[in-house]
Amino acid sequence: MQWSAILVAAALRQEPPAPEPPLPDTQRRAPAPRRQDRRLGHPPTFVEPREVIGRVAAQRAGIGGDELVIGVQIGDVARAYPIARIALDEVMNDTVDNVAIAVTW
Amino acid sequence: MKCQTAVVYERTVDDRTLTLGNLRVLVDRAMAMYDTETGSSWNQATGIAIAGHFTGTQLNAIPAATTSLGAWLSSYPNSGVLAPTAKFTRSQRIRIWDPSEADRMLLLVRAGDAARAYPLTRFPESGLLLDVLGGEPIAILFGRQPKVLAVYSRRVGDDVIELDARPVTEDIELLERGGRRRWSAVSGRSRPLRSARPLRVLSSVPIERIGFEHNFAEVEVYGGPLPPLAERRSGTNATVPSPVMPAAPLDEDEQRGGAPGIPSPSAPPSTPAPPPSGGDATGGCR
Repeated sequence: MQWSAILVAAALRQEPPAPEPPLPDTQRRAPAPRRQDRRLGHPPTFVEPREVIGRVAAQRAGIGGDELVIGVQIGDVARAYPIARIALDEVMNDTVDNVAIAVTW
Repeated sequence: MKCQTAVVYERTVDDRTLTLGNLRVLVDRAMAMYDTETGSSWNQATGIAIAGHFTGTQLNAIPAATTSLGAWLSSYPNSGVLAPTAKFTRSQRIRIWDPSEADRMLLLVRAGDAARAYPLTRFPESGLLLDVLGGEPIAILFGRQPKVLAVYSRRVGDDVIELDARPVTEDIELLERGGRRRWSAVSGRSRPLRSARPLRVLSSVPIERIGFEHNFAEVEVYGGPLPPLAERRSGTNATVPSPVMPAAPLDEDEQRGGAPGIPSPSAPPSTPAPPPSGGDATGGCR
């Protein structure tokens, strides 16, 4: 298409069409899925933990002792995944003690 | 789509570490997952790939406990906790501990190649059910207060032990019948620590009845076949299809593998392998 555009422009003695300037980052995001796509399940989501905190920080963050969690212990590492967080995306990719796991709900 | 089927999978297959995502579609009344590396689609309840490169391959399930954070931290005080996000919500009803849903939830237990499903309505009041599965003596704990869901082998060294359950602060204690050994029901560790060998954790999956019947028809049900479900009030029927699958918004900073439609250099197929026939975007999970 570009070559044909250049040839046409040369034939007409006009400047070839300038390439479109790159979109700013805020506009480069994929368009919102169409209704049809959403019904088909697109787009999939891929989520990894943003932050893992200790018990004190968890309390400060408002995660109480009654919060239901999925608990995993691998090797010497234990990790708790609040169900209220996992349920948002339903799949959480993580690595615990060098074992790649997916916590699913 | 809230299947509430809690399963932890190892996501390394044939030396390839996969990044799994929610395909936001139901297959056989179970969530379908998708991996960015090969574009395979996976059934979340069974862990089996249903389309794409890994078709027929099964993910390895990792034993996990479902319990309260307080109970978990009483066994693992140094445990990390996944931090909440702005969208963290506690509004979701956890059906497995909802008495009105007890007839719709089962616990699928695996020991080696053997599997059996335990309807929640068939647990004794204590929440502790002792059984033998595929030759393995097991103890299944479905504790209501505190909330603990865990399955252990009852083989300790060369002994096969009987157990009783007793609630204690932030935990349920498993007591050796006719003996003195005690274990935490959350972790399977002895109480006090190192006074006995830990109990071996077995894989268990809480699963909704409709998902179980679609995916595990060959699995035996403890206590015999399930009775037909009673009619439910409108609005609570799990089989009512939703016209449009809700697409949950993403946390942009948590998203990996590139934005939808803009594949990252390492992200291969931009189009997921379509699930085989039987896939739908309708109800079954809420």
